[in-house]
Amino acid sequence: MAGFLIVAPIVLTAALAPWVAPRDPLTMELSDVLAGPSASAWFGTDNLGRDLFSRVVHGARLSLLSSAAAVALGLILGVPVGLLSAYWGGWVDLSLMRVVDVLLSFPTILVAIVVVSILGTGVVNAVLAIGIACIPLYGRLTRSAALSVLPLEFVTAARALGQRDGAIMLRHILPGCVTPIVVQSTVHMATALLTIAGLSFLGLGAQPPSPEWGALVSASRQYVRAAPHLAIFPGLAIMLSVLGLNLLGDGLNDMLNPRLKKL
Amino acid sequence: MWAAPRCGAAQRLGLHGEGRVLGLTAYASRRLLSLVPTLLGVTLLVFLIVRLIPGDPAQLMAGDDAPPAAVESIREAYGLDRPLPEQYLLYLGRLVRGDLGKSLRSGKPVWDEVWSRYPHTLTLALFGVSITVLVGFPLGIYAAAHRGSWGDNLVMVASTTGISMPVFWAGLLLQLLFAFRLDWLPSSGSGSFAHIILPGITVGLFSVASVARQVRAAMVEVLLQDYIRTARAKGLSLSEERYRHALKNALLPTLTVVSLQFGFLMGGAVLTETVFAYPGLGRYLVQSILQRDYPAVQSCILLIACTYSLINLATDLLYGAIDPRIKYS
Repeated sequence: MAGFLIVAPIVLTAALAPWVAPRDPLTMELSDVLAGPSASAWFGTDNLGRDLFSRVVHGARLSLLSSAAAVALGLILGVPVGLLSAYWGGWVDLSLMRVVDVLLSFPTILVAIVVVSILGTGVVNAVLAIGIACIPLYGRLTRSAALSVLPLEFVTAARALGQRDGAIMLRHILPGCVTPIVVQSTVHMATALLTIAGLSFLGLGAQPPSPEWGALVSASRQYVRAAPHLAIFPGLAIMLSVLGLNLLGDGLNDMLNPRLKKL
Repeated sequence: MWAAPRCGAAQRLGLHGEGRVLGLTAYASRRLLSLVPTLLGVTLLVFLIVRLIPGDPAQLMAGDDAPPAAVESIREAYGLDRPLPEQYLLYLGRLVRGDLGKSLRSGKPVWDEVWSRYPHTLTLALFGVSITVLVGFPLGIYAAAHRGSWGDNLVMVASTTGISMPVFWAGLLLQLLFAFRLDWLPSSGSGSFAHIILPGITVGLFSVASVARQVRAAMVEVLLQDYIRTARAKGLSLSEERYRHALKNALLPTLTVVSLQFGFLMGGAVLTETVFAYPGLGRYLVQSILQRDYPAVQSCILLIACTYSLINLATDLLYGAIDPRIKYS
């Protein structure tokens, strides 16, 4: 599980950021501006003399937490939608899925941009925006999973025994949906991370001096000719995290889904 | 409509020509009709957006430093003190007349601003899609044909990495290398073919990786199916079978990715356009949001959403026409 090997150190670094980072990410050292990588500053320094390595490390916290929060939001709101839709069927199902399909037909980043244009910029709003964009994804996913669980006999038995609808949904159907939700969540987290970085890059997400990775890349553009390391390292961090999450999702999929081996 | 062969097998399968073409027309008409409520829904959403933003809509539309008289005249012109449904109808009326309001930034009609950017977005979209097809498709075929070899592994690793890269970073790196260091290509703006190359490659990159993976998967799946074994048993050579049978089935996922990409790019490849300062719709949208130019924001979202819906519709119809297995319910 190569994915796990990549993601774990990143998560650890993010969690232990204050101890791993050699210097405070916000301290400016104006004597040492735009320096390349060196022994004292592993990733170099930025235009205000801040240590890039420390900023990237602190940025890991921000990026990972926000993408996790966005996915969690989509999950919490989207899974019930899918469950209800599958369970009740009929016109509830039809109308909900209609709305979901329309929302799903637009790329995540555009939906997020629209939401941000209403709510305003900033990390919290960006997280909300992406969470909202994830809701239809989870709705569809849960609905498909629930639909495959519904016809099974223990559901009919539960109904015959008089169990209430809500209890049936929570205790019988939901556990059957967990596998695809978990697998997809890692992939969604990867997408959320990319989208948050993208929003911050555009100036719609994390604002300076926040060391979010996308914002770091955006800030580096002015100085990219003189100090390319400012752009390279944060972007590399993003790429590695996303790659790790994608591989993790693949690995989880292989592990949790007993199917034909991938070709 | 051609004369349908009325043989038994064709009739049983429901695949005879006449029935399919009739089915397609009916399906197309139904889908086109369903476009109307979708587009109306989009206009409603866009209409609501400005009114959802906290603050006085008239002030928002007039701009932060507009004098009270100007705010009042905006209120009158857009009927902002009238009930909401009436406002919506007024809005629709203006839309139909092509009045998208005036940009707060430039004072020019939004329609002009948007119209001047549309061709740029279109060019970039076409270029990106061409790269995806011309590079991604052959790569996928190559990987599938040489399954398990070094070439295959290389393509797979490269494409997995490709879909993990943030678009804006890839663009920035390309810009760094080819424009700033090597000075082969212009780094920003527009005006010549050279200006499209770097942005085009950037937007194409992700989709190239995606297409390569999916084409490979589709072809490999087909290559192992029974009818290929039958074809082999019948004596067809390996290359004939590979290209004719498997290729057709690899077309469908390619079509998916390409049309998704085209739709997305027509919506404005926001990140790439920002990196290369390319004057497309996406960048205009973001600039308008950052500058609180709400008439422009509204119209951009409207245009992007409508374009996207239309392209989705066209894709669905194209699928229906191409894939003989799709029946029209």
